[in-house]
Amino acid sequence: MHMNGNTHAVDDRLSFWGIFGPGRYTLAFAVAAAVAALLAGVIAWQAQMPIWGGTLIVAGVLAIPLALKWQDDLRRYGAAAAALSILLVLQAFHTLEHIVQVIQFYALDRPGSQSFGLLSSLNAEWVHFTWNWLVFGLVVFLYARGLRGIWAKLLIAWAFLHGVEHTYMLVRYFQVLNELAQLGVAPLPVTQAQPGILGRDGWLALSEWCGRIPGLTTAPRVAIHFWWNAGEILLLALAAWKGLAGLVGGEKGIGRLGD
Amino acid sequence: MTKISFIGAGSTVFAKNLLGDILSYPELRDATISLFDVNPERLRTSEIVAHKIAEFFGASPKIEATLDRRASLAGADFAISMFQVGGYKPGTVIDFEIPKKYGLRQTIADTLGIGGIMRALRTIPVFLDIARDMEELCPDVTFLQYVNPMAMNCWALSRASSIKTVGLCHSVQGTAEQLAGDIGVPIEEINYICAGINHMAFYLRFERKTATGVEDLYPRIAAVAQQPKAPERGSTTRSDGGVAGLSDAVRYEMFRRLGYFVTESSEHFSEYVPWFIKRDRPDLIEQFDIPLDEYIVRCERQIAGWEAARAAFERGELEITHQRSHEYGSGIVHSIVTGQPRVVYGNVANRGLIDNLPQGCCVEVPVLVDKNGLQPTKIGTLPPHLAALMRTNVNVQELVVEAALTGKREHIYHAAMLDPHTAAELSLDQIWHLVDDLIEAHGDWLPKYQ
Repeated sequence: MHMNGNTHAVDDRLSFWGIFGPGRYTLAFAVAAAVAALLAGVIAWQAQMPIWGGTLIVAGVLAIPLALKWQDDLRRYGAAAAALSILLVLQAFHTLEHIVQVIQFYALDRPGSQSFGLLSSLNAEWVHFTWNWLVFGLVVFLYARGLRGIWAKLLIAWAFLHGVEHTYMLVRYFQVLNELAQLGVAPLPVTQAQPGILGRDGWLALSEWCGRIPGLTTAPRVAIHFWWNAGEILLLALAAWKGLAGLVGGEKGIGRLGD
Repeated sequence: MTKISFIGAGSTVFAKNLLGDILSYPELRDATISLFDVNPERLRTSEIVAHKIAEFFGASPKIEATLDRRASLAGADFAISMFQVGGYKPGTVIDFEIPKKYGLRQTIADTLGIGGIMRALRTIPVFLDIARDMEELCPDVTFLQYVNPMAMNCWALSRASSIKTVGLCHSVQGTAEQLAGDIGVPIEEINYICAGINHMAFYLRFERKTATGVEDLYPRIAAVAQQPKAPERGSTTRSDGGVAGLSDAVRYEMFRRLGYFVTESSEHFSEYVPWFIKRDRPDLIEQFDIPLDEYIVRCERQIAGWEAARAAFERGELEITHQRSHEYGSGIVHSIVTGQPRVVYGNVANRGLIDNLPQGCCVEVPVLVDKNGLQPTKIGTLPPHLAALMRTNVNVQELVVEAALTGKREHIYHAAMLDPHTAAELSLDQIWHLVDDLIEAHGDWLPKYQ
């Protein structure tokens, strides 16, 4: 690994597992996970809390060692590496949310609207639009700071297209609200989640020039977004694994090892 | 070019009206219209009428007529169902006459009640066959489903098939027009939000914009409800051969009790609940002016009229004209083809649309239609007493759909036991015997239930 001249601590050398793994906070994570599981289990059982309640409790408790770990990453490796660490964890959680949705939809045979994943149904269009462009912004930031390689380039392209997909969905969402208002039916609380560019009833499926492409024009929204996010976390992990050295030690890298 | 398949096109009058509505839009005048029916005579008549209606509009659609359902569906962009399995005889006659032996009287028997249950059991297997054909031959088709019992048919389709289906009925817009007439406000000035299940949806808002804001029109409806005699709709043939108006007393009574006005007519609604038709209470039949056996009367009148009309159609003696109806079907096709947005009331699977009705059941809600297709809107929570009333009907629908999809006979008994009108009139033993008799009378019209 390349190091800047002002580094001094060999133990602080940055590696994929160093930044993505719990490292010296392993015990803290283990304790937090046990406490979170116990708390979520007891409270959910006693208060008959829905799944999102348990998820928030677990996330809240795990946030403590995570914050310590990220603070440590920032101090030891710099802002870019810390940002990558945060992005990896949050995107992994986001992907987990989609995995749970897919299980609910396909294995548990729940309708799409009831395949909530781990969190409640927030305004899905706004949340996903904001999150995905934030991811794109962070990925570009990391690229500028030295996260290079083919995987990083593919990640940028993927995150951009994912953002475009959500932009289209948000536009459609507003279009629906606007049309309903003009037709005198508004205000209704919320409209159903709209299809995007890909998938069943999506822009591609409705276009006259595109034929039927299994999956791309036929898959339900829950499957489409599972694949978007699975691809994104995979590319992010590969980019981090292969490009981490550049992030810290490259000429434009701002990462630093130690103080 | 847009292809529209009419499934059951031998329903000549309905097909003629819908085709006329479609061809009244210039953008649809070059569509391919594929007429399918199992009855060659009726199909021939419908084909003649279709050409006449195209001529009336100066349109040049490609009109096909076929006895092959798969040929009609192949490559269709839209399919419209308009058939009746079992017809008047034996279907409807069995549905009315056998229950009558047990003292169970009905009015329409096409939605719920023991008649609605049997009608669904005859119809759903046919729909499942059609859906399988569609998945193979036109998987992206938009299916406009007009056949009763609407809720049960659509629920079964949504459970068993991936075909985009919307159930269409004219009760929401039709009742809105009737109410507008009752309160003396032009329908064009009225906005409403309506939701529930088919034939038991309620107007949650009924209002109009004024110079100073929005006027709630429910107080005007309440004023009509205070009048000693309820308004009358349409007409029916009396037992002495005369013609009488159909009273709307049942619906206005329900409005007085519930505070919301329901979409389906009084003669229909009286058999969805346990309070109006009772063997030992002829006074109720008189008080609410309930036309027992009304559907039989209508069928016989239609059959008599049909024979004369068909002869005239085929001889070219009937001049065909058309004025666009208030059916939603043509508007949906037009909106999807042209992108012009519309709101229709459609019957779709409850996927997060109404919180206090079971997920997956068939609900009637506003549906936005535009270039992107059918987009149901979320209603949220219905007033609890309305949802509770609907659930008494949804219980029956669920069991009938379960019976039709699993082939388990026990669900048919249970559906009949839970039917509000049947349960109010008959004992458990009578209900089970009645179901046995009905299944036996249907013979090959029903699949074998285990």
